[in-house]
Amino acid sequence: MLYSHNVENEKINLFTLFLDKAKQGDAKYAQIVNEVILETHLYVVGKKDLYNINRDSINIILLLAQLEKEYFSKLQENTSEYNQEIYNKVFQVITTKQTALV
Amino acid sequence: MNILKNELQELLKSQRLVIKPLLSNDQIGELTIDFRLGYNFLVTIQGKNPFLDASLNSNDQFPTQSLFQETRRMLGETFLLHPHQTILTNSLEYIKFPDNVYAELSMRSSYLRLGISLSALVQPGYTGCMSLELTNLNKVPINLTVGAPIFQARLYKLGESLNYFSKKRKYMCQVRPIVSSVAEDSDLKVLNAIWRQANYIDTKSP
Amino acid sequence: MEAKFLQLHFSQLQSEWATAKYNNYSDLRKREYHEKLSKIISLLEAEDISKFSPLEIKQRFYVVFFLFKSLEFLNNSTSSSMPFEIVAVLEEALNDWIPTRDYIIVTSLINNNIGFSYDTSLMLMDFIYKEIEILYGIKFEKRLIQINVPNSTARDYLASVVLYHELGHFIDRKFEISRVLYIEILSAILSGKLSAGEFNDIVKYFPYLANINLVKWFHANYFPGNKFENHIAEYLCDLFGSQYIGEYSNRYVSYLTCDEATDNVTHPSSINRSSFIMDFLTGNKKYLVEKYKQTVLLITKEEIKSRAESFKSEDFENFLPVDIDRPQQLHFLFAYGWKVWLDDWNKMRAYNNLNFDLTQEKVYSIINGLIEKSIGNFIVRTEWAKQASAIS
Repeated sequence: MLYSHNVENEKINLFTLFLDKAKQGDAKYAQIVNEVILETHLYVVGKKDLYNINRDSINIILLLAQLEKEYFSKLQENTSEYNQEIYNKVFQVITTKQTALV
Repeated sequence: MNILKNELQELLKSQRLVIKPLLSNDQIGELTIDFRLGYNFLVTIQGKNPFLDASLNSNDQFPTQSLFQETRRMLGETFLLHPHQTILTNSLEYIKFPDNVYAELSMRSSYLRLGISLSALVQPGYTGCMSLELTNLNKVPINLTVGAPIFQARLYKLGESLNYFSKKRKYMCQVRPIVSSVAEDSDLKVLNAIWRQANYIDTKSP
Repeated sequence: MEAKFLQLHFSQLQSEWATAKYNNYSDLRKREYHEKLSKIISLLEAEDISKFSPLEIKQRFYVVFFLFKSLEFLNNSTSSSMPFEIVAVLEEALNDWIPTRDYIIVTSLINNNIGFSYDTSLMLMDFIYKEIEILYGIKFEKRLIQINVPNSTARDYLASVVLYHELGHFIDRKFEISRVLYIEILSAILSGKLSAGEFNDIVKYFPYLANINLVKWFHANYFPGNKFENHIAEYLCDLFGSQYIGEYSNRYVSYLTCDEATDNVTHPSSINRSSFIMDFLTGNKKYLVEKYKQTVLLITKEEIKSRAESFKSEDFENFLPVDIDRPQQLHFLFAYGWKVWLDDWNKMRAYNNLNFDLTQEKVYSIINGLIEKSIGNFIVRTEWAKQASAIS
């Protein structure tokens, strides 16, 4: 897996793993995925741009923004509001499109 | 004639004598210049070859290089010299001698007393790091510090200039110790040919 | 994922660790990193893999991968033949872009004789570090970067100029510059607002973008490693390297690729690569070079500019190492070395009163040795001055 796939695919795989843990209620993982979800929201509404969004997660952010722009535009900036419903949604978006980046 | 401190300093100032790097002016003594242990080493290793071959009679089956391994240390690190071990290393300093000055190298007395021997001659016009063959004559290992002033050079002036590059040099501008190029000695080719003839071996060159 | 396979994976690691745990490092930072690996392995050993859920198995898979990769890097770095001169110079270049305190460079001597590269897999996997922190409470302040240097050319400083290009790949991956350029260039074409000159400049270096359908396809179908992104990255890295070593890396690469006139999936043509660099080096305000410069500045807050401080010297011709006074001059040593190599060697012969012709092998050895000694002397003098003044 890690010998035929590239680093970007592995980042998405790890992010998906974290989402799974966040869905199960693990706050430590939720904190990490919240950062990515928030960055996506800020990017989509124009408060962040290509030059200053998180570099490590940029491909995940751009992918999410491309797939569900409207959904992410409506999210709150207060990450304490992020809940299982959001994690489920993001998980569903990512896992449906994951193979596109392989 | 042994060159003394004042003249040594003049040679340095005029850049006829080059020492790079000269970390401390205290290295220039009344009679000698102290030089430091460099950070590159060649140690002999035991491999498949049965001996170090200083002849051509084995048809290059046992190349000298195969019995040496390079190792490096950083400045301030140490190198352990085992009892009766001989290593190749060189000076930290890269030097260029005037063409009418040569030097005799010897260990500084602090290191001589530990049991390390060195004896070498640096020819007029020599350019490069000075090659050192250090041997531990003691019964115990000696831990040397890279960068320590372990040996000294006594410089002598000649009555005439000699061109170091009047003929091809095996060891030129070296910055790391180089394994002996004894096999390139032209005399050995002649001697090998004599031996081959005497033993009725194919007289074509090896 | 099955537990038995993770057990196998972990057993392989334990076998590797059986010898690696006795590794000796002179660098304190590597020792500390090694100790953290030791703690993680102990904690893993205490876990019951057979009881893990599939998700937990997946998590440990990444942890074991991380441990293997870290050990690979650290094992390579115990080699006592490390060309620390190259590392020192590259650290100087890296420090222009990211703080050097955040990472540890290790070198691996490999058999591929043109295999200069960086392995940045640990540097870029932020999620793995976070995973380890969550699972085991261990935080790594510094990340490992491995530089691969061919064994046969570990002392070939002339060929090592390509490492500046490779450093560009590292910076690119760290800041995802190519990713942004990918979007920007395609968006610029699709906007229809480019002048003819600007469009022609893009198409000169990316000829396939003359096809608008392909432009739209690239725009709608990004995936890592596609031809356009690869080409963007290669031009970026050539540009990056040329800040430090001018045109010499590209001239060398042009030779290695036999002045390749056509592109392939991974690389643009050598001819185009050289032309792109000359646009930068000659100060031509061409659209594409300016676009690259602007994007790099916006993302990294650093400019693409000439970063090697030049000096005038004939030391090499006089068979002497150069006295380097400032770190930025270190990079110019390579350009100087190349200049001497490409020049007429008779100067060396004349300056040193040689009664014989210099062979190419001898000139090669002399130039590389003098570059090495120039760098080494700078390191020694700098370290000595720092500590001697602290003690006195």
